[in-house]
Amino acid sequence: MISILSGIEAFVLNNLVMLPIAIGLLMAPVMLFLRNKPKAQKIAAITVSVLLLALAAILFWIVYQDGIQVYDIGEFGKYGIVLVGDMLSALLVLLTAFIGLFVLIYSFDYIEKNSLSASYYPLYFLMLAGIFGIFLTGDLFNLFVFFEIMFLSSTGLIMANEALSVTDSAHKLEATYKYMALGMLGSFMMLVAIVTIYATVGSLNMADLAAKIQIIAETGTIPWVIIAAALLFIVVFGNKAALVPLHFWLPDVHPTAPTPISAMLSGILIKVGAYCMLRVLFLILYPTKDFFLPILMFFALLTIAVGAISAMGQTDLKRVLAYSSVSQIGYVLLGLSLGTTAAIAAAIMYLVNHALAKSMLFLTAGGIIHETHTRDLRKMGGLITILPLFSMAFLVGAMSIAGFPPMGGFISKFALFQSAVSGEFWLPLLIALLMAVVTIFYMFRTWIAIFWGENKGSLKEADADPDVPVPAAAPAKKHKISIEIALPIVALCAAVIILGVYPEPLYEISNIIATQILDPTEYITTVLGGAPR
Amino acid sequence: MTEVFTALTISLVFGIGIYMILRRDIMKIAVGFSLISHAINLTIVTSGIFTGTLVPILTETINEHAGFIFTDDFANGILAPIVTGFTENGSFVDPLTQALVLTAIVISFATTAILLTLAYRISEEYGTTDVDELRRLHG
Repeated sequence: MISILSGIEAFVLNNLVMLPIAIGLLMAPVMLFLRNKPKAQKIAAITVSVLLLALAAILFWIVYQDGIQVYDIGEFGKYGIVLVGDMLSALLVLLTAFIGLFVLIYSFDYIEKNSLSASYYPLYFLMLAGIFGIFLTGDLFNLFVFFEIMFLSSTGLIMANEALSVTDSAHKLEATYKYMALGMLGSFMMLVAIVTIYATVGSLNMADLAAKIQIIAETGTIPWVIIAAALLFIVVFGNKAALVPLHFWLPDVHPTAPTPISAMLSGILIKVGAYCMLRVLFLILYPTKDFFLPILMFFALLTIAVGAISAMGQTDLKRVLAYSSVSQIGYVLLGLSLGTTAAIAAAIMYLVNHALAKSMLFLTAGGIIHETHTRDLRKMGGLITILPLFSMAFLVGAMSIAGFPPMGGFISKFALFQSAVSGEFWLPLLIALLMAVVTIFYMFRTWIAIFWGENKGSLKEADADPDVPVPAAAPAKKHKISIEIALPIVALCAAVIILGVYPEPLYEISNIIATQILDPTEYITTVLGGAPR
Repeated sequence: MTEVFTALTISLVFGIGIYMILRRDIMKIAVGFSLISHAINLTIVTSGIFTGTLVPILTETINEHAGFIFTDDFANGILAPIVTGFTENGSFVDPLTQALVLTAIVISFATTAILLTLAYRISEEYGTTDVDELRRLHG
């Protein structure tokens, strides 16, 4: 018995970097086979999600203790595909597993039963596998493959049916069409950029590329094609991260997706763009920084401004949150574009805090929509007595996004502005501060519109308003919120507050990550150290 | 000379693809997307084939004459791979781009399939294949 346990332990520790991806990929067909047994599916899904969270925590702990972990697939050394778990990957895998678990619990009650069994679970695990793959891969082309896995499965998930339909399926199709068209163009451009780099440098391994491009930069001028590829990568990842001229799909897709998927899209999927910029532009193509940093900064500031100003005028609850996501990802990219260690550390803190707060806000918004049967802010009001839990949760989220102490958002905004002051970036700081004030305005305007004021009857006499789509069995009054909806909101709420009250570990980890990214020597030597067998 | 013609072909296919995705009919857009993906697949293949002439298989005889270094050695300033002693025979064709293009073809196949399904559902739901009619989310 003990030998079996130690055997399992050795297996897990030896294959730790690969396991999250493999389990995600394996669960997709398993869930398809179990589609006639919803109970078994539910148990399997929750068990595997907890297991993934545990694995991510172990991976994070081991990377924190022992440094970067490298896993060869196929034992070809750097000529094959390698998976690399460094601090940045481990942190984001942990974040994804954490949010993914609670989003899954939330979906049990929120997604329509047939849709849940037939397509939701398989696609959900496929998407998780894709996201883990993006975070863990050390190969540029493999990054593209995982990007496509994530993109295609999220396309399917956006069209999943909610138990209580407040969104027309026609709207979903239209939003998905925009997402598909832009995503396809983005992946074509990504292929062109990857092949350009491969044809110039002759490698696809990220560590190898980083080392070789560094040498090219030291010995002479960088070929212009590498600069062109770097700028193409900004377009590709900016498209995923909703950088402003490419942001217009997001306010359509995030609101029309079912709420748990909106939480996943806003929490994790747009962060994938920021992660890839950090990995590809800052790790591999850092010698071209004079070209891409000013461009990134300009568009990041534009993103902050356009997102915040658009969010002010929205009347749709989820659209406000979606535009807020656009604005907030601008702050993350601004932190990256400042380029100093402190600024990148602040951007990573911002990314984590925004992921937690925004996914919690989306889940809360879904709960509110579940009760009121409308997404229109003008038809809500006075819900603070009827939905006290949601009002508290939304307040916590709004305070975190707006940057109020003691929430996590305060710490990250403070660190970002401090790094801008110490780097003497006065104009970006001014714009960012101005838009932070706008953020406070639109978040609290939304909170007041939902929870204060007069009850407009969306809960009491919903039939009076013909515009509100009310199903026959509409809840006429306050009813009990199910545990599947309450638990994720409370858990994410707690995470937001804990990261605000006790930010020291995250601050320390972010600084380690920023140092690792800007000085990739450890990454390069660890990955290239292993000889091909 | 072949390179020039290949480059012209790629740019022509790419241009037709761009023209097609600027059309209003959703089916023409789908065709445009697949044309662009073909143009990019051609780009991937051509980035590998014109550099070498030898078939990329390591046989014993070749192995004897050549000095291969596959392992990095930072202490001595060696960054692998280093392939020497081959210049008189010519160099290898890059086999990796062909593996890459196969993957890219499969992925673009899947994406196009989803796009076509979506196009069918949109034509059912909206009663038209004109993308300019997809404006219910405006505002």
